[in-house]
Amino acid sequence: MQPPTVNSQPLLHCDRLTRFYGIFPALREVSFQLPAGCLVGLYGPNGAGKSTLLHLLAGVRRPSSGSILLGNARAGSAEARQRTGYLAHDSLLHPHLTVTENLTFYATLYGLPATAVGKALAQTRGEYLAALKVGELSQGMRQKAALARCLLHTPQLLLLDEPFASLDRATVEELQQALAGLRDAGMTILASTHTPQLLEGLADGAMVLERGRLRQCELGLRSAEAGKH
Amino acid sequence: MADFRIAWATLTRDVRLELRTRESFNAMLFYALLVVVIFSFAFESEAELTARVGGGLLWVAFLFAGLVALDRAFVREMPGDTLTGLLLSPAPRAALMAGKFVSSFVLMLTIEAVLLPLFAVLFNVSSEVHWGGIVLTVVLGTWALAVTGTYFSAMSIHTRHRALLLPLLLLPVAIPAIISMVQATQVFLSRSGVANYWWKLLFGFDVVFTALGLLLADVVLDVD
Repeated sequence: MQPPTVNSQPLLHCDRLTRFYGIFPALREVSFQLPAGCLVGLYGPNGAGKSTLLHLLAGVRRPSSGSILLGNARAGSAEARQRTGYLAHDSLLHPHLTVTENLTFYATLYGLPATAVGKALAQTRGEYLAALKVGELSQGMRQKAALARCLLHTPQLLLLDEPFASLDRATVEELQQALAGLRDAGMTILASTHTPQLLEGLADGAMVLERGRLRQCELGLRSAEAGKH
Repeated sequence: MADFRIAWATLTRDVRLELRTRESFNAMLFYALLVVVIFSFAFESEAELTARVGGGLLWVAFLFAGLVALDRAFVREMPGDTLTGLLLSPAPRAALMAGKFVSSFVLMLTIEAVLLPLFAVLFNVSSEVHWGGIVLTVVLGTWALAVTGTYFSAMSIHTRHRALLLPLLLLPVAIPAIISMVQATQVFLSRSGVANYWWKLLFGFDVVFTALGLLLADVVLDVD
């Protein structure tokens, strides 16, 4: 499958995003566009504003100024929420419920039939987790269940906050394969990580945040690499 | 119909969580029993005395127990940060809030169903009192507390002194409902007629605060 070109119609359009916590500017004048069907790494040291940016894109928080458009939908609107998946630090799944019970509940919130649960678990190869309580899962299993939650409604934009944190090598590889599959299926993925090597050969682009400012925004990395070989 | 499904899913999930953990139920039952039993030691169990103070006493027990359930309404969403999960979804906030209202209501009514017969026995309540009137008052009063309490529980969830803030916010607002529920119960315990006036007041309170709670659900559930 051909990697997506950077000239595609932008799916995500961020314009001069700024976010303050009190008087502290966590993000300053961040602008970028992402096309459909690309995987972009979001890098930067602790406190650079990566999680804040993902919160704004997911609609969990509002920008102090600036705008975010997902297609024609404003971030935070019901339409944008229906098209966005967000993998947070926490699983957003209740530990006293089984994976199926959690996902069935979320399926109802997204107006989906219960069959969506099996499909999402199959996408993450997590069918064996269905009857297990979330509180009893290992970190890697929980991450799989959380990713299944994100994929329930087949979002156009998938936001991942440190998806590889605390995972062993095998689980990291499994997750990398899953992300490549989703990207190839046309999903736009923005993944923050402290370890850029984990997205090497996988990411089509890189964004680097530093002290709330976007220092670098480069797309078309995979197509450039493919051209070299 | 979609909103109803969301409210129903929220309600059944909360009930399932409570059945599995019994976090609220045990604490509520303990508080309620404590109040009723201690007062039964303090007062002679005479029908005449019960007719005079029983209404207030019963609602003190219900209110204490209810505060536990109301506090847990949104604390239940803290493990795994499931509140963020709810708010990330496109589900209408009013539907989520309606599910929470009903789950608090069901939990409070369950405890009250256990407590009411015990109260009747410990305080020697006459079998000739109008039990139908008392039950209707309990239902209307519990809905008033469930709606206002759940709303303020959502409002105080991100504050540091949540457990203290909830009664401070709830009780002043709920005063008209508390007066009505105590007075109506008193009317039936003392067999001094019907409580139409207090019922109308309670019903009006229920309608107004349910509508306000649903209309303002977007504002109160906004985490930012």
